Amino acid sequence: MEKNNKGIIFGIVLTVLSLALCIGVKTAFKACGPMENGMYMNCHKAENAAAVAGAVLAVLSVLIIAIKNKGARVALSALTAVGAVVSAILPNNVIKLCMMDTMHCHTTMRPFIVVVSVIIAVVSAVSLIVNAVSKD
Amino acid sequence: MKSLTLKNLLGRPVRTAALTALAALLSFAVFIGTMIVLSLGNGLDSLEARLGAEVMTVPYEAATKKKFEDVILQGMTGYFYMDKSKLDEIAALDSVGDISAQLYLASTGSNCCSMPVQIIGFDPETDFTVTPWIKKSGGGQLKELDIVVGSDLNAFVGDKLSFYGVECNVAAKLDKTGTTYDTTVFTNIDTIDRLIQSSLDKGMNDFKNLKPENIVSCLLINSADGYSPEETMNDINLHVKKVKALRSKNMISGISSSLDGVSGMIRTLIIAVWALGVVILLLAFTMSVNERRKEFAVLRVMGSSRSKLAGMVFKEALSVCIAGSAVGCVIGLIVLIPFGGAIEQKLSLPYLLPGPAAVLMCVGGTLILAAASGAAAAVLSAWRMSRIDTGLVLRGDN
Repeated sequence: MEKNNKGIIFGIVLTVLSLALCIGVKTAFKACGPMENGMYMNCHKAENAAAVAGAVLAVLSVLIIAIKNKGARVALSALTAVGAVVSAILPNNVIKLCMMDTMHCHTTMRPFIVVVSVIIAVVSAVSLIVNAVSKD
Repeated sequence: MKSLTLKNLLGRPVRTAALTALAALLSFAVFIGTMIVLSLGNGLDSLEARLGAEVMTVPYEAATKKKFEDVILQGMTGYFYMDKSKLDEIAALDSVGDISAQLYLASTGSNCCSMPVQIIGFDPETDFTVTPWIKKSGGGQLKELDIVVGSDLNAFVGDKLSFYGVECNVAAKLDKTGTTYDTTVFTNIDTIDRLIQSSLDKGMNDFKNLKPENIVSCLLINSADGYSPEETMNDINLHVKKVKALRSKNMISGISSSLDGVSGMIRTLIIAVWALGVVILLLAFTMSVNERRKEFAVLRVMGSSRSKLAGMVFKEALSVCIAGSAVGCVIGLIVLIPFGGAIEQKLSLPYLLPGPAAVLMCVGGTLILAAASGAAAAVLSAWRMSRIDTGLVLRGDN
């Protein structure tokens, strides 16, 4: 019973963090606003991509809570860790941000995505290890 | 006894977590506050170094406008011009040593975004402010259409950037300064002439009655031997018309006083938070020892000496404070390093994070301060505990 609880706790923490990533990039930590002509800059694509990544990670985290099978939990934790790493490298490495590092997408959105994604990756890695060594 | 300390801490997870969180909060406040004060000081030093000349001469009308300071110090894009003949007039004065002209041009957005950037043209033959900085950042001689970009511009060596339809090569990227120069583009006079001409051809600029090839924006001057910067400044203001000479140091005095105000406020907050925290820790340890009087009495009966028990209380407090302080410092680093740009923008002051050695020293200092505060708060509790009357405690209700 206790071992199952550990898996659920990790799942809950990961769900909260993933939702924070998904909602955060669309609210307080969003990319730069539109230009004077109403068009959005490239960083807006990075914002959308990070929100989708957050949503996907949240679904994976909910599955960690719901699925009782040890092997499946290990696989889901590994997938979440990889997804979080991909999410961390999305802004500026995969999708270019704006020209100046002083712009909102660089000062606020990117650090937020990187910090939250790294935390998700670390928690997922711990979840993977705990689930892998636990005895069903 | 060591394992007993650990067992005591793990045996009361809520109390241990609460005390650790309190120590973490205090350390976070001290660490982040100290780092911000250090970064502001660093930023001001960097700005002073980057201005690089003792005296700056600009057109008289520009010096009387607020926008002038915004352009020079706050990084707002803009430009002001005077006739190039002023360069020769000022250079002829006895008090003037080194003199070099700079030409400002504000771009309309570049390739990737709508934000305009300030372009500064300098004369490599006479320049003594930008070139040493480019060399320090690993750059060399600039060819035509070569540009040097500030560290905050998302362009790298080998990239191409287009201004007014002219494609320029990024030849070097400057080191971070924590000042407005981080978002500036530097180039030589020939290239900036090309950009100005292109902006005129596209109808994006208007120089009124001035000819673009005969204009400069500002003159950077160092005094000749035997003259002080004040004498040079007064000499220029007295003998050359329609220009205003300013001492670079005086220009940043406004920023310096704002910085003093912010730093003073942060220091006061650190002291207030820390004093409050130490009082809370003192109360928490005292309450904890009172709560555990029976436990200590039993340990005394089992043969533990008073000094051993006092040492145990002391070790518990130290462990909690050091662990909490480490957590506070880690959270502080997570906030300070990735969100440094956001902090800089909120403060609107020159901000340059110190090097790794200074950061490590600050972490060490915070850990020592937390340990000392925890020890100070625990001393009283340990002393009270060592004086308990075992018999009385075991017989009593408590």
